[in-house]
Amino acid sequence: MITATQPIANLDDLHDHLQYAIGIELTTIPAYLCALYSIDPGTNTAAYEVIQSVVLEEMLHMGLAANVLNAIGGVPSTDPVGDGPSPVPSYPTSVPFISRIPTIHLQAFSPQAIDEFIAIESPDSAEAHVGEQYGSIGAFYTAIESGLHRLCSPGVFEAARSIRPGCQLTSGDYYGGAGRMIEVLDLESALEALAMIVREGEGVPAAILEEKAVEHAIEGAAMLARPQTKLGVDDRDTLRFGWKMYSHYARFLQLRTERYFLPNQFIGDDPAGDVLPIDWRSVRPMTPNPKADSFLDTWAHQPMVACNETYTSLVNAVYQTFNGNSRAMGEAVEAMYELKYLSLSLLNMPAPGDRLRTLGPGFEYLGR
Amino acid sequence: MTDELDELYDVVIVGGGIAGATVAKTIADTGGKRILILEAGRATGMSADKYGSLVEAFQTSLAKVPNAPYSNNPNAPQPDVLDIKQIVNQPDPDELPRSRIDDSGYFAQSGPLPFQSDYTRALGGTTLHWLGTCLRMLPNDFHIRTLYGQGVDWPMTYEDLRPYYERAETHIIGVAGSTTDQHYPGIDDLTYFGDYEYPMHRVPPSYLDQVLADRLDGRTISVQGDQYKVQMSNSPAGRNSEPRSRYQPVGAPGNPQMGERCEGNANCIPICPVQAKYSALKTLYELMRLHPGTKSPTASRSSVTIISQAVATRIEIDEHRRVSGITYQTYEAEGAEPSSLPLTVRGKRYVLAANAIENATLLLASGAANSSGLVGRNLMDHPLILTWGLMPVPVWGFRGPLSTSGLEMFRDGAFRSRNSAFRIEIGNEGWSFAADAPTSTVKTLIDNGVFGRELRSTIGRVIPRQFRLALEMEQLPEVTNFVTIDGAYRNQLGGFRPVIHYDLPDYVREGFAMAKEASDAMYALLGIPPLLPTDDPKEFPYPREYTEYRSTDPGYVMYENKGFSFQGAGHLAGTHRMGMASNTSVVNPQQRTWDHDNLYLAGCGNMPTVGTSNPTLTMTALSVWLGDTIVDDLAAMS
Repeated sequence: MITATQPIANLDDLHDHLQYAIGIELTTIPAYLCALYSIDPGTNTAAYEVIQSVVLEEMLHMGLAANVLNAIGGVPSTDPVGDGPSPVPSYPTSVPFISRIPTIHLQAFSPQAIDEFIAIESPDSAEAHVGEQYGSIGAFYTAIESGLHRLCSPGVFEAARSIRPGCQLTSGDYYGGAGRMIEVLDLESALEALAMIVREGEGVPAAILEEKAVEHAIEGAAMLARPQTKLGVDDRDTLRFGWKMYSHYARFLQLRTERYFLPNQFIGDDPAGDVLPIDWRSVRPMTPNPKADSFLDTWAHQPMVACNETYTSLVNAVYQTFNGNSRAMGEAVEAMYELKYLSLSLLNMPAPGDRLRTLGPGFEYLGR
Repeated sequence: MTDELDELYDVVIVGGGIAGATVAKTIADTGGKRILILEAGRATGMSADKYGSLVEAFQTSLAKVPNAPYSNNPNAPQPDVLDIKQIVNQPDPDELPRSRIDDSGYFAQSGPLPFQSDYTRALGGTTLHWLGTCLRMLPNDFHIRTLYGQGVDWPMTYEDLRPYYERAETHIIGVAGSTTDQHYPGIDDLTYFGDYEYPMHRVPPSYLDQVLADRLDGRTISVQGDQYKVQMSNSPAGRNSEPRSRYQPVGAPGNPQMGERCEGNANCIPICPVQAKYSALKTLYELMRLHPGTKSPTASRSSVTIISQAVATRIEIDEHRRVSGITYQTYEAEGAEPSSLPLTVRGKRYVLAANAIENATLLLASGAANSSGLVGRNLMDHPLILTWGLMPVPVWGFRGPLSTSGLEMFRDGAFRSRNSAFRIEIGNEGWSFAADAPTSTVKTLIDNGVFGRELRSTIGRVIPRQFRLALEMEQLPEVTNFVTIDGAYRNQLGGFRPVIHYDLPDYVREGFAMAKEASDAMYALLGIPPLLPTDDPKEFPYPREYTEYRSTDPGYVMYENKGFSFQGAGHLAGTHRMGMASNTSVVNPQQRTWDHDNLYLAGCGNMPTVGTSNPTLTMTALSVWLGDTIVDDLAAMS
């Protein structure tokens, strides 16, 4: 089991941590997608763009974590990890080894949903661990980073490369969002990959923001050498023509407060930018955590199952790409579109037995 | 009346489409320049939020024509393919009797055939609805007078233009393609492309293309008694795909997280919903971000000001035959009266980049650049005929972009001394272009009494088998094909509407016949026979060819007792062509008007001939070159 009380002891333990790192990144995506797809088409465009931008980066993070795992000889898999559960969750779900992460529900876009997202991305890691739990996702990654330092000599990376070559995702595999896919070849690039995950989620400490010319790798080391100083809202990503990106935490806070941050603000500040108007009512009233089996013997069962099957083939295709099957990426992209269309159509169907709610995607993983 | 600020720009550009944007970027990137772009239409597409309203307009329109998303603006009116009809009376081209002119659309058409191409008057121009095909011209296309005794030669060669093609493909448009996939007659990759490669990997061929390639590639067909080997080419396209090396695809203006890859929406024309397809909005957005309009550009930054809803009405010419200003008229809303008196802006250099028709009418209205008498003359297009049928197997159109491959083997050959060269574009949208399907298919079945389960299953069999080819002809320059102006035809602002005289000579009509023969030979290889006398086309038997040219079609023409219905390709060109002498051309090889030494023209109007490649890429290459020329010209001044 994953526990925060002891440092990561051996390579197997480190592999287990990284299996769950992939899983945590994956876990957030269905929750964010339910909020995203439940927004009435053509409304809440700013909120839609914000959530979509986070989803894109979560997909990147999943790939980065898989690259690190592959680079040190692990095999990304949906199987149960040791005596623990599968990294692919069933909703509602919790992450038992991280104290800040609340129970995650599949639900429509709402203040409650955004509160959950804020808690997930929360950077407050004053305590590295709370009892047997890690304090935050950042603290969890700090433990992994420490394990990499202690357990992964250059020989570990070389051995992994020669035994299972061709499993790294590369820059061409990721597009649309901020950040970039980092091929992990050694300790330095592994730290860089982890640092990107943490800073896009939680933000960048003020001390680093002020050092304008920090190289990525050095920044990675400095990022993970906590304790934290004050965090900026800026995550140091820029899109083309200097568009600044904020951390997921800051992006979700903006939705909750209905106001934008200014780029030089810090976490803890009240957003001081423009208003970001949100129409919380222009949302499909999705049944929370919908399960196909709740609709057995109704017409709704078949479309719910179809959506779950597509989600399952998507997860499987993604894990196949993590295992070096380059053709599976195309299948995964196709499945992402299919999943979107099926989800949107479910969100247009009234739930049998509850006229005030609609169906919605259940994200039930049916296995390999 | 002169602009109150009495500003003097380095360069004033009329037209915010791809030609104007390319010239502006090429100049602006050298730093320290003040540039003004006047755009007659609105800037709707530039706003990330409002772009969605264009997509919505497309989705809710019944006829998905090229201008469906872009509303007609009475202050900057535009042609629409829905306006086209047969011109019944055939007037004498020199008299233009008004009673016989069809002026129901924006164009006043004097025939004898209708000119069937349109364009878009809005910021971004016609690249808002272009397909995105980025073929270069062939080396022989530049010398068809010398080689085939037809048309005119260009004042430059393919080799001259080649470096500008590369810049257009890499720095302006962003082209996805593979040089090794290009199979053109008489061309070997090494001399044509050198060691160059496109900035992005090719967009994968559609499933239809794969089915066709399986049955056609490497086979030989006989056309006009000559043997041709069929070989499909993946078409280079201004459409984002996986980048090569360090190239960074450019996403949607104002929303860089969208459009970094083509998502295969299959409606490139009329609008790419994710803006993975290039439009001039991307280049203009880059200019706004990198060279924002200020009074004082720096050595590294230029200043680019874009004024939309500013209709250029007159080129002012002084007593030394130099342009002294551009007069324009602004308006507040699409239908509103002009909002002020005309304003005049001044620049050191002027560029007209308003497209082949609008450039010509503005020059004619201003009495400018026309000592040759050729302004507006030699109007060209790529007249095309479609063939369509039902394949023996489903080919599943509408998956992927509108076209990913073409057949290029008829783009050059000795036959060009007799008839048009042509290329064959493989459509990926069933019978949408050919027969307004799938709507019309469903209607035909219902009218035929099919309903319920049978209707659904028939649709399921028929629509996935629909496919079409477009056979696109090279049209030669002829002075009798022209756009002109006439005081009787004016728009809301008092400007001149284009009056067009257009016909197709036997050269093109024989091209139709040759192309149809080639199409017939390929249908035979595909196992698609013509409809049999015993077939009821309303029952959609397959495999069959369904091509039908009706005498009531607007573009119905006869050649040797055979009828063909042609359409426009939207490739308007030739109306102010470049050449070596002032009496045979409007601009010199530097694209400067022979008559006014501070006035340059940009766009397809400069092209002496059009070859068989979609002309946007060539126009963009020429516009990069023009940008360089103006930079040198400005440097020589100071």
